[in-house]
Amino acid sequence: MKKLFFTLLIALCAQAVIADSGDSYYFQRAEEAYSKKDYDLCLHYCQEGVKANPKDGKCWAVIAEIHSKRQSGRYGEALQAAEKALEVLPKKDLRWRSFVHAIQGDVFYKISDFAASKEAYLAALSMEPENTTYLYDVADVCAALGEYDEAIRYYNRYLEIQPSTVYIYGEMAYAYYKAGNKAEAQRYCDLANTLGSGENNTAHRVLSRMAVDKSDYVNACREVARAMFISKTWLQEADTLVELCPDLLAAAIRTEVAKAPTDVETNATAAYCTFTMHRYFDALYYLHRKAEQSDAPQEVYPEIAAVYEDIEALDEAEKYYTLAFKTDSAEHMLRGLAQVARERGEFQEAIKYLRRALQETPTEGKLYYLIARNLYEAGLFDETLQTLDTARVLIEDEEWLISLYTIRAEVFEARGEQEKMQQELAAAQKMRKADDKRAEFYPIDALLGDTAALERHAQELEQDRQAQQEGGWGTLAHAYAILKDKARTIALLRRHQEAHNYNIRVVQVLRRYAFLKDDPDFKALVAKYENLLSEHLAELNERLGSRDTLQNKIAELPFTRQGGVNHVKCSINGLPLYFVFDTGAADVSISSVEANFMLKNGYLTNADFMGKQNYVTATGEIHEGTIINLREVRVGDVVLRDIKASVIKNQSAPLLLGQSCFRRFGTVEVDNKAQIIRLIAK
Amino acid sequence: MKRTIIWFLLICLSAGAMAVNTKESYYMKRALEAAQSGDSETAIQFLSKELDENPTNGYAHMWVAILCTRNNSVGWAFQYARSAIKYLPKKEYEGRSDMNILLSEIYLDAKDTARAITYMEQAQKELPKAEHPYRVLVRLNTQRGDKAKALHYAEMALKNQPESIDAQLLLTDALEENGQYEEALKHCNQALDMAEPQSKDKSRVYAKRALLLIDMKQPSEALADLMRSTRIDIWDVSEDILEQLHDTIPGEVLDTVLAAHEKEPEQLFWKIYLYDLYRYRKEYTKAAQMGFAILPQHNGSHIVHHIASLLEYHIGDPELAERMLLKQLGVDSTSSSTYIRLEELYAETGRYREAFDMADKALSFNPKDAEKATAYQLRGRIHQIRHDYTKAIDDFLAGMIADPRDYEYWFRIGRLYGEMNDSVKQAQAFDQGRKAFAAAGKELTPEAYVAMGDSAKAYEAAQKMIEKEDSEEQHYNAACVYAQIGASKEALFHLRKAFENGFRNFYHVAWDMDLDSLRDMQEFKDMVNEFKQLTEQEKQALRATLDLELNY
Repeated sequence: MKKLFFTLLIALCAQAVIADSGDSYYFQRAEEAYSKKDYDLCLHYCQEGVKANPKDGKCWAVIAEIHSKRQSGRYGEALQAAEKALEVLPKKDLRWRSFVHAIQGDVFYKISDFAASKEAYLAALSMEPENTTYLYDVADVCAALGEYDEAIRYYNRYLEIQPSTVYIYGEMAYAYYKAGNKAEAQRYCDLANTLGSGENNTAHRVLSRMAVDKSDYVNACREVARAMFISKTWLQEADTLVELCPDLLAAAIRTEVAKAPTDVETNATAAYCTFTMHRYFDALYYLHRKAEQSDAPQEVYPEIAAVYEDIEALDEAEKYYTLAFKTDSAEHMLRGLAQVARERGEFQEAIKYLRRALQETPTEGKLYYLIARNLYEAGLFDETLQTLDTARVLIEDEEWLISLYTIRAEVFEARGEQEKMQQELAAAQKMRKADDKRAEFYPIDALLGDTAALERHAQELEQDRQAQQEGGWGTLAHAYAILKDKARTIALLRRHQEAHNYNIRVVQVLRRYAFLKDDPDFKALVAKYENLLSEHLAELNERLGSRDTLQNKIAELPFTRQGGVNHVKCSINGLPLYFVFDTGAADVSISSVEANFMLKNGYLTNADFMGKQNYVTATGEIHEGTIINLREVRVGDVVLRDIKASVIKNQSAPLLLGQSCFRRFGTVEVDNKAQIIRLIAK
Repeated sequence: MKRTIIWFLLICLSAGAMAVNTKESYYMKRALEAAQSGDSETAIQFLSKELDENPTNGYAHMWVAILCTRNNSVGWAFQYARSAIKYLPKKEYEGRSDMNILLSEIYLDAKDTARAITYMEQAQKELPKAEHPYRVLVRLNTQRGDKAKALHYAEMALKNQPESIDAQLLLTDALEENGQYEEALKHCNQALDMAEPQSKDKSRVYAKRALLLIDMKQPSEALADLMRSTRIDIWDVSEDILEQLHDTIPGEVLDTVLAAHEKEPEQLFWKIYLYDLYRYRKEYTKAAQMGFAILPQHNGSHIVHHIASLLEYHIGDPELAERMLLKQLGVDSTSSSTYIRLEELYAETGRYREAFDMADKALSFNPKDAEKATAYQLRGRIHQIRHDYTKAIDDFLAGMIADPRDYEYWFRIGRLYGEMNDSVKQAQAFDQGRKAFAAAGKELTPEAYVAMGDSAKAYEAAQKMIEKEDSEEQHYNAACVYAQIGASKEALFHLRKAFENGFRNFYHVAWDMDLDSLRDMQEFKDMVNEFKQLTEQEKQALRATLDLELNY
C-alpha cells in the first residue's frame, strides 16, 4: 500500500513538474521514461541531468527515488542523492523537499532504522501537514517503534482528512491492540468491517489475535481465514493456530471456500493455505477445483504434479507432469519427471530427463548434482565423481554444496577410500558455523561417526516442530542409515511419517537403505504407509469424483440437424433445454429469456450470478454477457457440476453448448451417421 | 432490512428535495434519471462528471452517498455523506438531515452507539419535524439505559408533531419503559382517538394497548384489544400477545378465539391463532388439523416448516412431513432451510445418502450462519453413527466455524477424539469447550459432563436442567443424559415424561445413539410401543381428516 501511495505521489509530482516550463530537458525525458516504467532509462536521463547541471534538484530526487525502489536496494546511493537534492532544491519548494525527506524515510524504514525513518517522515510532514501519505508513514513508523499512542494520534489526523480510508481503521485497531486498549481495538475493527468488509484484512487479523488472547480458537480461526482469503495468502497469525488447532483452521478454510466454491482465486488460496499446513490431500482437492474452473487448466498441472510428487503418488505425479510438459517444456517439469523416475528406482530414466533439462539450462549446477546422485544410486561411481566436479564449480548455494560433499564422501566410503572420504568431510565441515543446526550436516556427522552429535540433533528436533514438518526426522533417519542402525532408522522413519511427511516409498530403492530391505519392521512401516496413501488417494478421488460423474464415462448425445447446426438436449439445474452444439464457443451460453425464466422458476438463484464478461461473436461483434454458474448440467447420463455460462443480452440468442462444458471431457466425437455426439472422459 | 428501508426513504426524500431545490445541470439530470430507473452505475458516472465540473455541488455528493449505500459501498457512502454535509446549502435541512441519518446508521452497524447518537441528534436538529431521528434516539437511549433521555426525545417528538400517532406511541413506549403505565395508557388512548376507524393505525394501536394492558395486569381487556386489532390486521407482536394471554387466561382466550372462528370461519388469522393455541395446549392433532386448514390460504416456508415439525415431533408422522417439505421445494427450490429440514428428517430416518444430498443443496444456497452450522452438524452426526470419526470431527468443526456459539460441540468432538484414542486432542477439545462456556458466563451442560466422563456432575446438571425448565424437550434431553451415565431408571422415567408431554418423534428415538443403553430393556420397548400405539390412532385419525394429496 505504501508503495502504491509512493507511486501515486511521484506521478503527481511528475505531473506538476511537466507543467512547469522551468524543468530541464533531461528531467522531462526522465519523466517520460518513468511514466513508461522504464526506470533504467529514467535513471540514465537523471544522471545525465545532474552531469549537465549538478544543481538540478529534481533529477537528484528522482535518482534517490529510483535507487530506493530497486529490489537490490542501493540504499547508500539513494541517501546520497537525497542529500544532494536537499542541498540544491530551493528552500521554498516544500513539495519537492518533502518528497525527498519521504524517500529518506522509506530508505531508513527498509534498513530498519526506524528512528531515522521517523525523523525524515516528520520532516516531510512538517512541510505538508495535510499530506495523508506522510501521515500514514509517520504513524506506521511509530507503530514499528512501538510508539502506539503516537501512531494512533497520526492515524486520527489522517482520518480527520480522509475518513473513509478503510484500511486506516484496521491500522488503528492494530495500534490500539498493541497499546493494550482492546475495547478501542474492537471498536475500530467493527468500524473497518462495516465500512468495507472484504477490502482490508487488518481488522480480521486483529480480531483473530484478540480471540487467541482469549483462547477463543473458533473465532480466531474464522477471522484469520477471512483475512487470508482477502489477502489471498498465508498470514503470520495462522502460524500460531496451525500449532494450536490445525483441524479447526482447516474447517475455517473450508467454510471460506464454501462462500465461493467456483472461484479460481478462492481455490488457489485454499490450496496454498492447506499446503502450508501440510494437508496435502486438501491442497490437491483445491488445486483440482482450481484447474476445473480455470480457463487455462494446464497452468495448474505443474502445481498438482508437484503435490502428488511430495506425497509420492507417483503415477498421478507423472500424469500431471506429462500433461504440463505437453504445453510447457520448462526445466522444472523435466526435473519433476526425473524425481518421479528416481522415486521409482528408475535411475537411468531420471538421468535422461535431467540431461534433457540440462540442454535447456546448461549452466545450472544443481542439475549436475541431481544427475550425480542418480549416478551414485545406479552404482556409476566414476561418473558420479566427474559430474560432481562440474557441479562443485557451478553451485553457490551452501546447503547444496554440503550435500554434494556428502555424496562424494559416500562414494569414497563405498570404495573403501577412507582418506579421500575424510577430505570430503573436512571440506563440508569448513562450511559449518558455530551451533549449526542445518539438517544437511546430519549425514556428515554420521559419516564422521559422531553419534553424540546425532543424539543432540534428535533432542533439538524434538523441540522444533517446523524442522520436523520440513522433514528433519527423515534426514536424521538417513544419517542413522549410514550407520546401519536398523532400530533407530526405522523409528525415525516412523516419526518422519507421523509428522505428515510422505517420503517413505523412495527409501526402498536407495542404496543407503538396502540393509533394511528384508527387515519385517521396515516392511510393516512401508506397508502401513502404502495403505495410508492409497486410502487418502481413494478418499480424494471420491471427493473429486463426487463433483462430476464423468470418470471413465462416455456421454452419448443424440442430435438433430436443423439449419446446418446440431441441436442436443441437456438439462440445466433440472430444466431440460435444447442447445446448439458449438465447439467454437468459449462457454455455455443462454439468452436472457431462458435466464429470466430459470430465475423466476427457481432454476437459478441470485447466488448463481457471478459478474460480466465481453464476448466476440463469429461476426466479430463484442457482446457483454452476464456470467452465471450452472450448478448442475446433465449431459446424457453424465452430471457436470459448476459450469461457467454466459447470459447474452439478446432475447433471440441461441443456446450454445461451448467449451466450458467440453473441457471437462477429453475427446469429442461427432458420429454423423448415427447422429450421435460422443463426449469421452479424460 | 432496517437499512434497506432507510435507504429507500432517503432516496424518496432526497429525490423530492432535489427536484424542488436544485438548479439541475445536464449531468445532474442524467444522473437523477439513471438513479430513478435503478441504474446506479450510470448515475454514478454522471455524478462523477458533475463533480469534476463542480466539486462543491453538495447535491451530487449526497446522491453519490445514497447510490453507494444502495450498492453496499459503505466506505464511499461514508465519505460522500460527510462531504455532502460540508457542501449542501445550510438551508437544505432535509438533505443534511438524511446524510446525518446515513452516517448514524453506519456507526450503528459498527456498534459505535455514541457516534450513532451524535449524528442522529444532528439529523434531528436539522429537521426537528422529522419523526425517524426521534424514534432512533428513543431506541438507542433506551438500549443504553438512559431512560430519562429516551423520554425527553419522545416528548420532543410529540411536541413537534402533536398530531402524529407515531409520536404518541413513541411516548407511550418511553413511558412504559419508565414504568409510568397510567401516563402511557393516556397517550395510547389519545393515539387510538387519532387513528381512523378500521385503519392499520387503529389495529396497531390496539395491539400496542393490549401489550400495555398485559403489563398492567388487565388480561381480559388486553384480549379484547387483541381481537379488535386482529379483526383489522395481524401484526408481528400478535402471536406474542396471544401466548402471554394464554399463560394467564387460557380458557377465556380459547373460548373467545373459537367463537370468533365460528362466526368468521374463513378468516385466516383465527385459524392461525387456533393453531397456536392448540399447540400451547399440547392438543397436537387439533393443531395439525388447523395447520392443514391454513395451508390453502397461506403456504409460506415458515408455516410449512412449522407444521412439518409438528407432524414429525408430536404426531410421529415423518412421511407426511417429508411430503410437505418436498412439495414446498416445488414452491421455492432455493430455500436452504427446507433442505436442512429434509436433511434432518432423512438423517433421523436412516436415509443417509439423501441426507448428504440435502446438506449439499442447503450449503449451496448460502444459508445463514446458524442454518449452515445445523447442516454441518447433522452431517457430522451421520458420520459419527457410521464411525467415520475424522469426517464427523471435520463437520462439527465446520459447524462451529459457521456459528461459534455452538460451543457444546467441543465436547462431542472431544468424545470422538476419545474414540480415536487421541487423548491429547481430546483434552484440548474439552479445554476449549470449558473455556468457551466460561467466557459466555454459562454453566456446563449435562451433555458436556457426560462427554468428559463425569457422571456425578452430569446427573446433578440434568436434575438442575429439569428444575429450570419442565418441558418435553428437556425431559428427553435428561433421558439421554441419564441413559449415557447408566442411570437407566431415571432415563426411562424422563423418557416417559417426554412422551407424556407430547414428544412423538419415534424415528429420532430409534436414531439417537444417546439412548443405546436402553434399547434392549423390555421396559423401554414396551414404553415406545405403548406410545406408538397411542399415536397410531391419532395419526390415522389425523390422516383420515386430511386431504393426502396436499392440495394447497
